[in-house]
Amino acid sequence: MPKFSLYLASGILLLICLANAFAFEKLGWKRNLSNTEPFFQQIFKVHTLFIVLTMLAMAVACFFAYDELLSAETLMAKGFLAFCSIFWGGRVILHLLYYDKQIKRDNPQWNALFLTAFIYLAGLFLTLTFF
Amino acid sequence: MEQILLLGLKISGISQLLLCVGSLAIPRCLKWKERTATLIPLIREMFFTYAIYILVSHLFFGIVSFWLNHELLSGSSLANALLILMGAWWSGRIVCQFFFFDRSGIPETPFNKIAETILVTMFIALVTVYWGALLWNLTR
Repeated sequence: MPKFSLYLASGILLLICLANAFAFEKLGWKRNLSNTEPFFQQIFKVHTLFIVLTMLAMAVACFFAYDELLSAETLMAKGFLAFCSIFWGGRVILHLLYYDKQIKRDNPQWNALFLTAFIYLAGLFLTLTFF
Repeated sequence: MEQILLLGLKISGISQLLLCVGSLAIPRCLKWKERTATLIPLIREMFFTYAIYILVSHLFFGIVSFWLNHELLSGSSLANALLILMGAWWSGRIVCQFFFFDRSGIPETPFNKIAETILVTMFIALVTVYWGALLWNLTR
C-alpha cells in the first residue's frame, strides 16, 4: 500500500473537516437547532467540534505516522486503524441506511462526493487493518 | 516518573471505560428522544450519530490507555498524535463544562453535585496524565 494513499486520506479528512464549516450554513443548523432547548444545542455543537477534532487527529496521524500505519506492526497502530475502520465503515452504513433520504436526493452531487470519500476512507482503513 | 505515568494511563483507561458505561444512561435520564423530537430529521439523526461516535471515541481512548499504556509512552509519532488528541479532547471538555454549557436546566440535587464534582475531577486528571505523557515523550 503506497504512502500516497495515506496522504490522500489525510487531505480528504481535512476537506471533510472544512466541509463542516459550510454545512453549518447550508443545512440551516442555527435555524433548525433553535427548535430545541439551549442545552441540546450546546451538546450538538460540542459533539460536532469533538468529531472534527477526531478527524483532524486522524489527518495528522495519516500524514506524520504513515510508516507506522502502513507497517501496522504495533498493537497501537492496529488499534488505531481498527478505530478508523469502525468510524468510517459505520459512517458509510449510516449514510446509506440511516440518514434522511430527501436531503440526499436534493443534493445528488454532494451526496455522491461525500459517499465516495467515506467509502475510500473505510476501504483504506479496513485494508490496512486486515491485510 | 515513567511508572507513575504508566499507572496514570491505566487509571485513565479504567475511568474512561466506566464513563462509557455511565454514558449509556444519559439519553434516558435527559429524555433525549422526546426533547429532540422538534428537530428536523437530518439534525436529529446527526445528533444521535455524533453521540454514538463520541461514545466509541471514549471506548477507544479507554482501551488504548489501559492496555497499550506502554506504547503510548514509546514516543512514536502515532503515540504523540493520540496523546495530543486525548489531551486536547479533555481540555476542551473542561472548557465546555465551565464556560459553554448552560447548566441552569439541571436540577441542583446532591446527587447531581457529587456527579459533577467526580466528572470534573476526572477531566482534570485525564488532562494532566495525557499532557504529562506527551511532555515525557518529547523531553526524554
